[in-house]
Amino acid sequence: MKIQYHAPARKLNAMIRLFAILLFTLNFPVISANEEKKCLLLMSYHQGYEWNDGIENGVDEKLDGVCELKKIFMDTKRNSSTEFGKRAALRAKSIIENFSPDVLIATDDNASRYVIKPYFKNTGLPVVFCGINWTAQEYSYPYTNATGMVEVAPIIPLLVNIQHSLGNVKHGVYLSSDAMTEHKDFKRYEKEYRERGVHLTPIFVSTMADWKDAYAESQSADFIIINNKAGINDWNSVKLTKFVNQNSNTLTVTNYRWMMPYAMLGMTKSAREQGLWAGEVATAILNGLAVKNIPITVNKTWNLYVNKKLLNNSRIKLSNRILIHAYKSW
Amino acid sequence: MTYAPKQRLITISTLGILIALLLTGLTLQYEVGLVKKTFSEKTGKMADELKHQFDKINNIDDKLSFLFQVSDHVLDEDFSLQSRSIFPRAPYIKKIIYAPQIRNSHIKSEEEKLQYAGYTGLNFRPFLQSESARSPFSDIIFPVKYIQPYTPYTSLWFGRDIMTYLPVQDMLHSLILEGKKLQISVIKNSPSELYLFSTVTFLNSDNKNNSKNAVSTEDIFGVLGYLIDLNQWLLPVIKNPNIATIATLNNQQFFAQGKLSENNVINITRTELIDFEGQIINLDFHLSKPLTLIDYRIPLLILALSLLLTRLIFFIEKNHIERNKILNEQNSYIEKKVSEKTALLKERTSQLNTAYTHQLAVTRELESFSYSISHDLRAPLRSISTFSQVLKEEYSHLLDDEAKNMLLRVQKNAQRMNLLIDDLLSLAKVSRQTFVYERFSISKLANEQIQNLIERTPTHPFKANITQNLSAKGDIRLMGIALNNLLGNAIKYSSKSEAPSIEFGLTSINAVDVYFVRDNGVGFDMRYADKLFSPFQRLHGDEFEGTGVGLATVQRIINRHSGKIWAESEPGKGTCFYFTLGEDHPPGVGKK
Repeated sequence: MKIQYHAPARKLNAMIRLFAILLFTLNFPVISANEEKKCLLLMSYHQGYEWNDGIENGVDEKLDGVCELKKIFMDTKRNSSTEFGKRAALRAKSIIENFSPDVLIATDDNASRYVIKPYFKNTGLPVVFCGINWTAQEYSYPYTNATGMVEVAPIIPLLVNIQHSLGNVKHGVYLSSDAMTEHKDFKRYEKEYRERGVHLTPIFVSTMADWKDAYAESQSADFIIINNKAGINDWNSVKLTKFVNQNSNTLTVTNYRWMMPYAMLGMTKSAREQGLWAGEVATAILNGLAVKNIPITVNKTWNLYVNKKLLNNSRIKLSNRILIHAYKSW
Repeated sequence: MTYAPKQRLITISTLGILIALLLTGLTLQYEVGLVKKTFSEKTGKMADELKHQFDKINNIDDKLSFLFQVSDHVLDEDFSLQSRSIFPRAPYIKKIIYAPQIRNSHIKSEEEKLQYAGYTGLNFRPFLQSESARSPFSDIIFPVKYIQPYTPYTSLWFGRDIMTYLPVQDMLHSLILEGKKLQISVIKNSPSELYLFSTVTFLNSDNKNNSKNAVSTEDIFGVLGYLIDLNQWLLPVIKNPNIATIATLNNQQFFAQGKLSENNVINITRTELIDFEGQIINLDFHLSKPLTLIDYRIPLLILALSLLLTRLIFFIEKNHIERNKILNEQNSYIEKKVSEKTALLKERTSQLNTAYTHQLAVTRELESFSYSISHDLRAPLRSISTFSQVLKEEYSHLLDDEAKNMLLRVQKNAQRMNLLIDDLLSLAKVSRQTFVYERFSISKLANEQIQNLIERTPTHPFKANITQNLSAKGDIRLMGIALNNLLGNAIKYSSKSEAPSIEFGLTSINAVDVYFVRDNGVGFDMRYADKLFSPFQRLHGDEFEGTGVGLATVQRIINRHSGKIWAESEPGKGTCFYFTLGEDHPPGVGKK
């Protein structure tokens, strides 16, 4: 027997259905919003800055498909004043509070200095930092809500590689620009090398000419650590490249990628590793891992470079172990 | 001893079934044995493979231990390099950790070193409460300082005292205090993983495994730990879906794979004990796949075939019995009929013999009679001829012309009578004469007969065409008589032709050799062909000489040769007589 619906009943039916559809549609953003996590990447520098880009790529790789990712670039490499930093921090704070991420990644020192420490220390917002040089103590890390990766130079691995190539070494030269950071770095090098029976002589210079002289003088050492040139304003890469190629008789090493034209062997930090770690920790936090239990760690990956041209022009032979594992030729 | 048919059938059936069952039982036993053997081989192989896996872990552990034994300051890179070379070779190792021994008095300086190295805020501490147990040592700790792979999850172990970890506690006694090298520790609530811990000591390898020499804590400068994924470790080895495996350590089950079948009629199991550094791992293997009809297929096939064979033999035997019965009945019937027929045959044979004897007697009597009559008839004939001749010679002057004519007619008839008697005798002789079967030249015989005819009865000139080099098989004397008659007739009946010719040769009619005698004489009307071979029948009356017995004689001779004779003719165009010797003759010839 076919059921005949009366007109009023049919109307009611339609209204109920429409209401149900509306309810579902309205709630849909809520449902989807509840499901998708939010991550925020707070970068100290600007896009286009190589180190920054490396970290960003690592984070993107790990968080792809994991959460909605928002990025803030503080641009403090190009604007290094404290005032700029603080202003940028305020803007970032506002964005963070509006966006309300489930986890925040802060890269390099300025993000922690200007944003995390003053505004988000020991809050409910989980923070993962990376790219902080040598120690996170300066920013009072660790917090109950923060962990991350400290960026260190491969002091000992570099020495190990020097020893693999030259055998027992006793004396090395640390050649660097005369900047506070470099002096701090030297202290670390000196301490570690001393403990391993290697005497390290520091030479800090401010001009290219001084650098050249120091380089020439240091040829009598077992090895030379070519540190950062930042601060030597008359640096001419063409001239100096030519110079080192003509005057190199001792092993030269560096921790800086941009110093590779002047060094035979380089072990450099990996920006990508910082980004990957930060992304991994952020994902683990989103999956329920407690931040406070994750210890602060240090980077463990080095890019190994060799400058074949420079090596060929000298009498230096690197160990096969280095040559086999070298990331690329410079 | 013979059995009655029914008994024989019962015996065959019973024996057949018994043999079928016996064969089936034997085959089944063999099949099950085969399954057991295969099972034993497979599980033995699995156990060997597992032992090999354990050896592999031992080797890995030795190499890693060596790394820490030879250097006080092992770089994280070196540990990382070594570990990363292990993971591809041993994919079941999910995590490797190393926890060096640190005296309480050195804890602070070690922590400071780590913090200086960048591990800001790091302190050595026990494991998280849920996994923690009190360390048995009050003056030393073993904080985890090396971890591979280093992930947010594995990093939770960094700096934690391994001696406070529950699974380590489980085998602490043998691991540390007895100096056992590698110890397995089952992880509660984590059925797919277990830990292997190893002590790194200063002792040499011989003493390491000597459980009698307890190792002091000073000798242990580190603990290596391996997280083992059982799915990757055991499953690739114990991967047979038909074999259920349960692994237990110290009565604690830590691995189970496969399902025990409830439907197994035959229970096939095997237990293997693997001694792993003094710890006994019990492996219980069970054949989990129930033996199905497919496994019993050969015994069932044997049973089916045996029963089928028994049935077949039964059927054949039954058939045989029935056939024998029928045969016997038929034999009896046949024998009865044969007897009857034999009796009839005997009777008929007897009758025939009697008739033959009678006939022979009659024939002989007739021949004798014919001979006697012919012979007796000759005497008066001779008298008639003689005296008629005397009359003609001595008294012809006294006779008138009519009397002379009458005397001449008497003489002619007497001659004719003589001829007739000769021919009759000849006809009679043909039947009596012994048949001598031989090959001879019929061409030569024909030539001879023509010569005889010419010499005996001078006649008109004629042309004779005798095919040479013809041979035949038969009685040469009888054939001489036949040819004499045929050739004589040919000469005689062609005498009135302008160019008389006779011919003798051989032709082939329907692939049968047929001899012929042809003339171009007067011929005869074929309407009277049936009378040709009847005695005393003369188609041309007195036009030509003859007694009318010659062709009858020829026919009788040809008949004795099992041949056939016939003629073809046309008045005025000659006649051709055809004859065959032997049984072959063209079909349809000789018919009227």
